[in-house]
Amino acid sequence: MSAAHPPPQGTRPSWLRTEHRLISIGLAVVLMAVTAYVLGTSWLAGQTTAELEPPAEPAEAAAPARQYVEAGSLYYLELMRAYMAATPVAGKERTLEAYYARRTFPGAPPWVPHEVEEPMSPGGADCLQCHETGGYVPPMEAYAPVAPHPELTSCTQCHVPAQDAELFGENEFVPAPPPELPEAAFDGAPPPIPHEIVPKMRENCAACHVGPAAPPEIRVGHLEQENCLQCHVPARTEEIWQREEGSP
Amino acid sequence: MLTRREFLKRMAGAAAVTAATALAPDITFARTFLAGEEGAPAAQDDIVWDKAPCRFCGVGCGLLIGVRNGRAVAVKGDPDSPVNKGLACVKGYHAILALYGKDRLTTAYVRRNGKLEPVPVQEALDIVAQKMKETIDQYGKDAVAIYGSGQWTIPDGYVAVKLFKGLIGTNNVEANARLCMASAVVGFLTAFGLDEPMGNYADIDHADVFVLWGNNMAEMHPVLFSRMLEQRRLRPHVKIVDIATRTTRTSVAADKAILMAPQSDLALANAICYEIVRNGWVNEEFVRKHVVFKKGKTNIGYGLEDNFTFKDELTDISFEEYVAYLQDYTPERVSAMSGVPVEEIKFLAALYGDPNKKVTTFWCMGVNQHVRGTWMNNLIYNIHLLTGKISEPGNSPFSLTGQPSACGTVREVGTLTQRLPGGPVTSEKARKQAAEIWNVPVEQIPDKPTYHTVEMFRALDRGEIRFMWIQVTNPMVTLPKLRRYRNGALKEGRFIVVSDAYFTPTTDVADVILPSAMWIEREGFFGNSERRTQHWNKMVEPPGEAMSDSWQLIEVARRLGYEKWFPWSEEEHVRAIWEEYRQFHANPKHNMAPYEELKRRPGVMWPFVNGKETLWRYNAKYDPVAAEKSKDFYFYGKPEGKAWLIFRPYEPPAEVPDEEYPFWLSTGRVLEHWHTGSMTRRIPVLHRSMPHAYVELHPDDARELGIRHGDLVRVVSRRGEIVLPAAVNFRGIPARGMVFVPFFDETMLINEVTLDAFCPLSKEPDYKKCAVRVERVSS
Repeated sequence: MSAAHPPPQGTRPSWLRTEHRLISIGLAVVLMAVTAYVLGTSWLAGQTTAELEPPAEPAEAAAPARQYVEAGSLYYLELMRAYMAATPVAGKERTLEAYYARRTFPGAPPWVPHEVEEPMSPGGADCLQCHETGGYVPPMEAYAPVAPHPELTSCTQCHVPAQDAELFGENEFVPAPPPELPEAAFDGAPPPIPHEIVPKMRENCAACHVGPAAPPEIRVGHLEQENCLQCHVPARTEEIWQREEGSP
Repeated sequence: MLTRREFLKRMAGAAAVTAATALAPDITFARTFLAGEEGAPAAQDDIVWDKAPCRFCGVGCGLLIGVRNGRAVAVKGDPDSPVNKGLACVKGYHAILALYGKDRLTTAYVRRNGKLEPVPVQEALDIVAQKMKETIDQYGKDAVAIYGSGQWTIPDGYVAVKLFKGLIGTNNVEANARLCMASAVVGFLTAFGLDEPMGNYADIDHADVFVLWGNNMAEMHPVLFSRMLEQRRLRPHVKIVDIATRTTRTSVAADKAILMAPQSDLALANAICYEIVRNGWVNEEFVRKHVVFKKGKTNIGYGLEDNFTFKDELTDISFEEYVAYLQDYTPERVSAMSGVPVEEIKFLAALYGDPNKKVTTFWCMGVNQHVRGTWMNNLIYNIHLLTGKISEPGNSPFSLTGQPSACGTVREVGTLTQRLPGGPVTSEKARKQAAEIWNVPVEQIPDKPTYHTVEMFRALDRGEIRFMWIQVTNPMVTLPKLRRYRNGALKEGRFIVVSDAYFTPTTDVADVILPSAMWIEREGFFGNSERRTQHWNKMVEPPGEAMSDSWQLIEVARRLGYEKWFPWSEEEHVRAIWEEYRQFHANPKHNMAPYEELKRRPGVMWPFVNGKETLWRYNAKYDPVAAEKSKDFYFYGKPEGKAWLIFRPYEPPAEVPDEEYPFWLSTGRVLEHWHTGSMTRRIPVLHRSMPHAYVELHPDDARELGIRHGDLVRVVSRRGEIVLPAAVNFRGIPARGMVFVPFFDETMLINEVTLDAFCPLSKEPDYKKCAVRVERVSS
């Protein structure tokens, strides 16, 4: 009996026994078939070109990156903190009157009150040099307001220079009145927001309300909280809610 | 006007919807949430907001108009509009000011002894009807004509077509869209058999490459341009390529700007096709299944002579024959004629040819206002068809429109001499359908087109047309070779009625002026570039006796004895007209949304099938009509279900610069002004930004001519001359040897200089190419 002699049937590992071997082979065949099927179908799937499913709401594909009102101010928070601490250059502060005087109606895009060096430029970096973070611009001797929506780079689409030209014809348009600051609930309570927060356009509270470029009338002195809406809520109506008559 | 209870109910409705929105509350809750109500209150309690599409360009932005004490006081972009998602442009934000110019027309005028005298509107309408009747009796029905506009609301255009084609029985109905969109229409009809784009603005959200062909989107379609820039910001691989004859704001913002010689676009497009074929970038399966090859007539003329006629004949060719025709357009040869470097031509072809890039082409007036405008439209489709990049998200040849309802009114209602709402006048089926819906004898609807716009004004000059009614447009500023047509209109025995909101150079030639209610002073519909129909309510009262254009037409129709066909009340007529008009398109290829749906939503795209908009036509995944016939694409506008790829060669323009007139002249628009400026120049912020026209020169040409920015310059052509200030390094820089003049300024009429050559297929004039001389005016 040599050492090479196969072990007797009884001592063979169970998986080598004929009946078990058949099961193993069967399993292997099934496994191979499954593998072939999976590979085959995925190969076939790879043969068709990728196609986009119809978006449920195609318009929403380009939804704004910004979701929270405070996001704009957060983005510049550190800058803003330093900026806030700066003392306004005497006599060069923007006033609320000037703020409204550069808009046809409250909420209209303000026009550009200064010369534009690159009339062929759609805006972008040219405008953002001064308007991305705002602040005092010595050559202009004025405060540049912060663009609340610096990601919209075709600035000239909405903001056009105002040349000193005689009008083509008089216009009798009467603008909407500016929003009035609603009463805080009590002395010291956070005042509500009197104006609309336009999605994508005017969501950055700090752009108008923080720092020396902000008109003093609407400037806030604190930026401790990063979420303005935590304390200041929009005042949408003067009407007081009242219960429907007769409802249970 | 609003009781407390109603107010509370509205608030409840508004709250229910806004409650679902995100953390930053959507305070633009001006949507009408409860059926049948107009607007809901906003932050300032007494301002009521309601939706309207913008009054100006063809983008069709959704706006929200704030009304207080019966006057429009504020505008904001409608965040619910899929077109603009809350953003507008400077024209849109200030659009309401167009209503309040101090010199607004509030009464009618009649010219007596050469002078315009104010008269009550009802009296003026009597005169109009009387004069129409007399003209028809004396000279026949083809002696009266109406010339309208792509700014006509859908009801305005519909009433005009019904009155003139259905009841009077003349095809003398044209609109200024002939001057801006006709080439796009014929391009669509020849290639696909059906008008208007297959895609929609959501293509912008999917495309990897944008090719802008002959359009300055930054100024003319600003909101779409911003959507494109936004996509490039979010997906940095997105590239924008600008092909133009002039460097503009669009070129500055583009990743690549390609300057080409005027008219060489025809060769350039063919060179791109040549390269696509040579490199094996043809999508063979798509072409085999969905494309047939054709060619048309060549040497087709320019329409410069009166009574010019042309009829194209399209014949089958094989792919091999097509490729043989392309051999004339090697990049090397085309580079020599276009001035575009060979590598840039190959670069363009590679962008289109790359199977992994989705390409959207946008084009507008550079392609359409072209003596071979239809051909250029065909050639752009050829590129997209060869590569199979069509009718799916991001792969889109997209013809942009200029006017807010060039599509909705002119193209869909069919306010052109050759059209009826349901098809061409030459089609018996279309005439029978119209006769049935209008309840008129079919023989009453003439079966032959009469005059396209340029020829209509020539016929007025010749005396074949004696009476013309002009609505919502200003042809005495916009017609090419203006002097002839102005003199024609002023001739003895011509009677011109003009409906407008302000005095214009066109009211200067009028015998009767009717004051029109504008935009939100009446209820209406517009249809924009992406097949979106948008409804708005009447929000404010028109001033004085001003009346909507549709109602003026209805008043005259009744005076002509057609009351039975226009029985509607003033309150109900817009709805009634919509319900009647919708019948023309009651099939899955063009079905329009019901009135209630349009009133409720910020626009609905047609075909509106089983309560759903068809986002991409001809694609089985999105279009139920295509899905019936095919698993992928089916171009059902053509009998065989295949799109036509039509070979079109290069042919020279009607006039080229020579020694005497060495410069090209191109004309166009600017961001601030809408067309002829009669509205936007009365808006202070827009006027102050762009107070007058100018002639733009290349800095080197200016230096050679001794002209500096602001100097007065005379621009002279064989037709006429004007003097205006030079602009060097201003809004744009034309190529060397070319000048550009915007046409908005009625005191500096560049169309005195332009040529009335047109595309023989579309009859659209070429405002972009003629020869001029420029000289400094010594002071």
